[in-house]
This record gives sequence, structure tokens and C-alpha cells, in this order.
Amino acid sequence: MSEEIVLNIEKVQKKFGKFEALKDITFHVNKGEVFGFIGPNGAGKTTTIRTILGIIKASSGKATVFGDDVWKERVQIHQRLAYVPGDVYLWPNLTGGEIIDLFLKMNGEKHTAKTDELIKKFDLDPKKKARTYSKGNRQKVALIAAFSQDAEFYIFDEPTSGLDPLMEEVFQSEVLDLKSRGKSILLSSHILSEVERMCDRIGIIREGTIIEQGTLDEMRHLTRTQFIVITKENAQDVQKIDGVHTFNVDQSNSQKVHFSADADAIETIMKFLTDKTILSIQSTPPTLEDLFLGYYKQSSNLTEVSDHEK
Amino acid sequence: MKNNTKGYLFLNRLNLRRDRFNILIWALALAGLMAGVAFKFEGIYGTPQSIASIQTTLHSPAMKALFGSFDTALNKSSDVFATEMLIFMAIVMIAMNIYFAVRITRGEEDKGLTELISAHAIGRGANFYAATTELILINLTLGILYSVGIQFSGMAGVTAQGSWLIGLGLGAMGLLFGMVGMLMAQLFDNSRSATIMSYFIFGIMYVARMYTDIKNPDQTWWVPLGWIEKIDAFHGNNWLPVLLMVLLSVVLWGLALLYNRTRDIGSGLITVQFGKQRASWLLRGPITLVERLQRHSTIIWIVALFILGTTYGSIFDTIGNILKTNPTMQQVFGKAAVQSANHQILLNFVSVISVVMAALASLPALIAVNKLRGDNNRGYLESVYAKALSRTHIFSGYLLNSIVVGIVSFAASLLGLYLAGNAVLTHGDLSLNTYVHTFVAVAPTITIAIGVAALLNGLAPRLNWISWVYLGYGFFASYLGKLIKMPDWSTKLNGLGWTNEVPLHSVNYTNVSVMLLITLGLIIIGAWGYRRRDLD
Repeated sequence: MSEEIVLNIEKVQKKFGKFEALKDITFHVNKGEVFGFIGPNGAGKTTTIRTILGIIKASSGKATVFGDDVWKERVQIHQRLAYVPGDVYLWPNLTGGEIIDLFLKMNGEKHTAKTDELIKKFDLDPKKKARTYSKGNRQKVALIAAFSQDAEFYIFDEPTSGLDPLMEEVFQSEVLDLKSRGKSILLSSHILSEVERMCDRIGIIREGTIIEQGTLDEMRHLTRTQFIVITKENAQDVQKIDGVHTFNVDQSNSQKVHFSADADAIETIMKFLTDKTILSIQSTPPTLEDLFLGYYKQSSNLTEVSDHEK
Repeated sequence: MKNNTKGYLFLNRLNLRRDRFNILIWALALAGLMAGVAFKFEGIYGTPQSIASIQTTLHSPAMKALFGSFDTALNKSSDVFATEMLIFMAIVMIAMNIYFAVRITRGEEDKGLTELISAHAIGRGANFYAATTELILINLTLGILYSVGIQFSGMAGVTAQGSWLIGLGLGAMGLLFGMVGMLMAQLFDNSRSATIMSYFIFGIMYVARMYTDIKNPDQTWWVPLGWIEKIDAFHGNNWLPVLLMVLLSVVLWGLALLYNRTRDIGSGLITVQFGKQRASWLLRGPITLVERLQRHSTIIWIVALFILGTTYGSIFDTIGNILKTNPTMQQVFGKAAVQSANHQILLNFVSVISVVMAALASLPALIAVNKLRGDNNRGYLESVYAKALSRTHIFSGYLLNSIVVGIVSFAASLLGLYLAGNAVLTHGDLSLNTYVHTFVAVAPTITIAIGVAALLNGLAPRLNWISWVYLGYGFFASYLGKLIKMPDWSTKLNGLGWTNEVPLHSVNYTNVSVMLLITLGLIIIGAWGYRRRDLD
């Protein structure tokens, strides 16, 4: 096992009775990278994370963190790991401050100046009892405890679902700070802009299976760039090139065409268009959202990739 | 007002649907218990001789403390039934009502469901009225089932009026405590506190009526719980107590309604908003965490059982004074014999109530272990699972708290008994050793109950309700076992049947050791299961 791989999951399956929550989960997180784990609700993100944490046991497959088995060596692994659950529930009778300290102590750490700084940044009143906290405030408690912990691997399960945009900013800057210090992060989310901004690599999960993983750039090859082109000569024949999809001609201007193109066809297209004398060209690279929506529609057929960016 | 009750009928149906299995199980268990005992009674107390044999026992202070004090002459089996069964059945009804009342009001609010419902076109008061209706229906149904069951039980001396008086009287008593539960659910902002306070009020009344029953039964009229003793079924048939219960229920309901209408959803009259900014150095791991979470309730239980002990102790002079009831005895048997007889009565009293106190001390102990599942289901433990803590460590946090609260509150009750008992006795004090022996013999019954709960929570948390069945059965068998002449083996199905009636008899160290070994075994299997299962 390479020292550079923090989390490695191979062919993990999890069955609850007859229900197969995880069918085939295979991915890894490298040291020092932010890995985005995206998928719709109920796809198995939280189940995967709970398996990684040794809270539930995989039915089959192999999962290791720092090279150790996640089920057998969970206590040692947790020593070097910080986790923020998707739904944070706290003991109503304790204050936020008490819970933060408790969480730190449970991992042998202490309340430091960093903790105070985070409490200020996240604008939390630590003297209030947890019963008075909103969802966002409960999330802040878990985030503050996690960020002030000096771990090597951080797992966030939909961490910003209850935070307001200002606090989302704080969260993102803290994650980028961790990254700059060489920490590894697994970030589960369905807020795509967040993943797009922070993650080096992403994995897409659907119905218990990782269907795609890689860097965002690699993924973009899998989808299409949107083009809007105005040419001097009629360029409608561009639709005959292999790799051009969803072609149509602008209703008010027959010289203006809209289409999407596969990455490997772009060179041919550009040569063809240049011959027709390009007057104006707009191209929009695919966003994660396109990717995600494509898979979300349960389609392996790329023609259904959303072209809402047009 | 119309807006206020909008959706009431809808909620009513929804709630009844939601609780249907719960209600069915309670109703079957309680009505079955009542009818079963009623049908059995003619067989046990069908002859004057059999009644005579229990008469002296029932007039002993220990039995008065448990079953109440009655003037009715015991001639027929129905007479025994109509007196001695009342307090026990009232306790069961009260437990059921507190359970439902808190659950369907504050419990729903704790889960955030009330908020969800209030967001719809449902009147502000609809929830409250629906809960009230549900409680009335439950108690009315059970009252009718009891009445019919008794009427057709075939006991000698049963009359229709008397049967309905007992049935509806118990229903009214249930409703009364249902309203206590509802009021507490309005005052406190979490269901745990509301339940504890409801039981606290019940506990005060129970102890008060026990005190007046032994000292002066007429004063029992001052205690609402004691009203059930005053119905005089099959003879005087006094409906006044039932009327009083209903009236008091209405008053409590009105108070609850008043608070319900003025407060915000999710809040209570008594709330604490602020606390410490930093954790104390004590709060550092699962063990101290559970201790901290349970601290208030632990202290309340210990103090409450200590008070219960002192109350029992404070009547020792009345109990241990045979001369009061039989002045010629000293002349016939001599002073020494009288004192020895007094001593025996006291020891018997201690042996009976120490079992009851052990059953009571098991309550907080089971609550503490079963909290492992509760906290898991509420999601409180999700973050803790990802910490560098072994599962054994987390498990032991709950277990240790359970053992401490169970054992210490039981010890506190015996201490109360010892201090108050010796304070009122003019001679023939019971030595501290007597109580130490009682503790040694009885405390393992508490740890076995804890072991049962630990096993269930470790292996199959969904079945942890079985621990309550175990304790409930033990309570039933030790409370009523003698009265309804349960066979010996059936009382021995529970740890409480193995105490060897210490201090009346000496400690059976084999029983004690076996009970401790069983406890240890149950806990080890539970912890083993907890380490290897999914925490979901």
C-alpha cells in the first residue's frame, strides 16, 4: 500500500437484509487532495462514509484508511481522522462550547487558540445549550471541532446543507487552508459549485455504484462543449461531422448555429469552421452540473447531457 | 375557536392509527392481567378458610403499605379482589397513562413532528385536543374491559354495579395521571423531564397514601391516589371518589390547556438556555459524558429512593408494636417473646419492601442502559463513533452509569430505612448489619436486570423493550405473587425471586454469587455483540 494513498476502497458492497445499499464502490483518496463525492440523495454517500468510519461493516470488498482495515483498526484510524456527519444532532443539555471541547478530548486533543478563532469565524455562541441551536448552528459545532483537530484525513458529509452563504464561504476557506497544509479531504456533497471550486478529483455515485471518477478535467472529456457560432458562409454541414450533437440553426439568423461537441471532435470542427470564415464564436466548457445531471437522469447515453448552458 | 380546533378529527385518526399497536398491546396486557387474576381468584379464595389464612397477612403493615388499608370485612373472594387489587392495578394504569400522555404530546414535539403538523392547516389546539381524546378513549376502553371482565369472572359476591365501579374507577385514576402527564409535558421542554416529574408526583402520592394507610386511613382521603381505596365496591359502592378523580382531571387538563395556549411550540415553562462556555475537565469521555447527561436524573432518583426509605422507616414504631393491637400478649408470652415477635415483623417488613425498592431502583438503571439505543437513534452518537474510542468504552459509559444509579439509589433507600427506622424505634433497633445483608442479597437482582438490558442493547437493540418486560414481570411477581398464589417456580423466573427473603432469613451466598456471575455473563455477551454489529 502506497504511503500516498490515504483512503482506498475496492469493490465494497453493503447489504441491509435483501436491500443492496452499496453495490460496487471503488475509489481512493490521495494524500493532500480534496476528493469530491457526489451523488443524489439516497445514492449511498452516507452509507459509504459510515463504512469508512467502521460504524457499519461492509458485506464484502476491502476498505483501508492509512493502509489499515477500516473495521478492525477503527480506533487507531479515528485517532488521525476528523468527521462531520450530514445531520448533526447534539445532546440538548450540553452547550456548544462543552460539546466542542468534548469532541476534541475524545481524540486526545485540546481546546486551542485555533478553536477560539474558529468559534469567532463561524459566529457561534458557545454558551447556548444545544437545544436552542438551529440545524446550521449544530453543524457549526461539529465543523469547529473538526477544523480545530489536527487530523490527517477529514471527512465531511454534506457539511454546508444548513449553513448560510456567508458561513459556506468560511467553510470553503477552511477547507482550502487544510489543503494548503497537505491534509486529505473527502467531501460528500450535492452542492456542485462547492465541489467544483474545491475538489481535485471527484467520484460520482449512483444507486450504490461509483459510476465515474477522476479529475474534473478528465471528466470534462466525457461530456461536451457547447458552441454558438456565426460564420460568413453557410456552416450547416458541421452537423455531418462525427461528434457533433444537438445541432440546430438559429431561427432569426440562418448563419448562426448552435451545437455541442465531443472533446475529441473539436479539432476537426474548428478546421471546418475556419474554412467557412468565423465571425463570432462562443464556447462554454461543461460544468459539473451537466455531468451530474447527465448521470442523475440515469442515462449512459451522452446525447441526453443537459445543454441548458446554451 | 373554530380555527383553533381545525384538523382535530384528522389528527385524532392519525394519532390512533400511529399508536394502534401500542394501545393494543397495553390494553391486551392490562385487561388480560386483570381478567386473569379475577378468574383465578375464586379458585384461590373460594372458601372462608383460604380467606382467613390470608387475612392476618393482609392486615400486616407491610401489606397495608403495598395494597392499602380497608375496612371491608373479607368474606368472599370478590371482597379480597375489590380491595387488594386496586392499588396494584392503579399503578399499572398510571404507568401506562404517563407513558402515553408524555409520548403523544411532548414526545412528538421533541421529534419535531408537532412543528411539521402545525405548518399545515391544523388548528393551534387541535394537537392538544386530539391527545386528550386519545387518553380518554384509552382509559374508557380499558375501564369497560375491566368492568366486563370482573362482572363475568364468576367470583362470589360480584355485583354489576361494583364491577363497573372498579373498572371505571381505575379508568378515572388512569385519566387523572394522564392529565398529570399532559400538564408536565406542557411545563417541561423535553419528554424525559416530563416523565420523571410525572413519576415524581406519583411517587409522592404513593408514599403519602402508604403513610396515611398505616397511621390513619381516614387521612388517605387527602391523597388523590388513595381515592381508589375508598370506592368500597360490592358493598357501599361509593362513586364519590370516581367523581373526584374526574373533577381533578378536568382541573389539571384546564391548567395544561392554559399553558399550551400561551407557550411556543418546542418550548416549555421551565427552560434553561445558557450554560458553560467550556467543558469542565471532568467532561472528557463516554463515561463522564453519560454521567454528566444523567447527573440530574441520577441525583433525583437517589434522593427520591432515600426519601422513600425514610418514609417506610418512619412507620417502624407503628409496625413493630404488636402490643397496640394485642395488649394481652405481653401477659401471656412475657416481654422477651413480644419483643422477639416485634422484631420478626420488622424483618419481614424490610424483606418485602426491599424487593419493591430494588424494583424501583432498577427503573433508572434500565433507563440508563437503554439510552444507548435512544442516543444512537437520535443521532447524538454519530460523531462519537468517529472518535478514537473503542466501542467497549462507549458501551461501558452507559453501563457504568446504570450500575451506579441502580446500586446507589437502592443503597440510599436502605440507608433511609435504617436512619429513620432506628430514629423512631424506642427499643429493638435493627442493626446496620441487617441492612448490609439485605443489600448483599437484593442488589444482585438489580444488576441482573441491567445485564438483561446490556445483552439486548448489545446484540439486538430493537428488542431492548424486553428488559422492561423482565422488570415488569419481576415487579408483578414480587408485588402480587403471594396474594394470587403464583407457583414457586414462576416467581423464580426473575432475579427478584432469589433474594431468600433477607433479612427474615440469612443471605444465601450461592444465590448471590450465581446472580453476579449471570450478570457478568450477560454483560460480556452484550459487549461482544456491540463490538461486532452495525451501529444503525
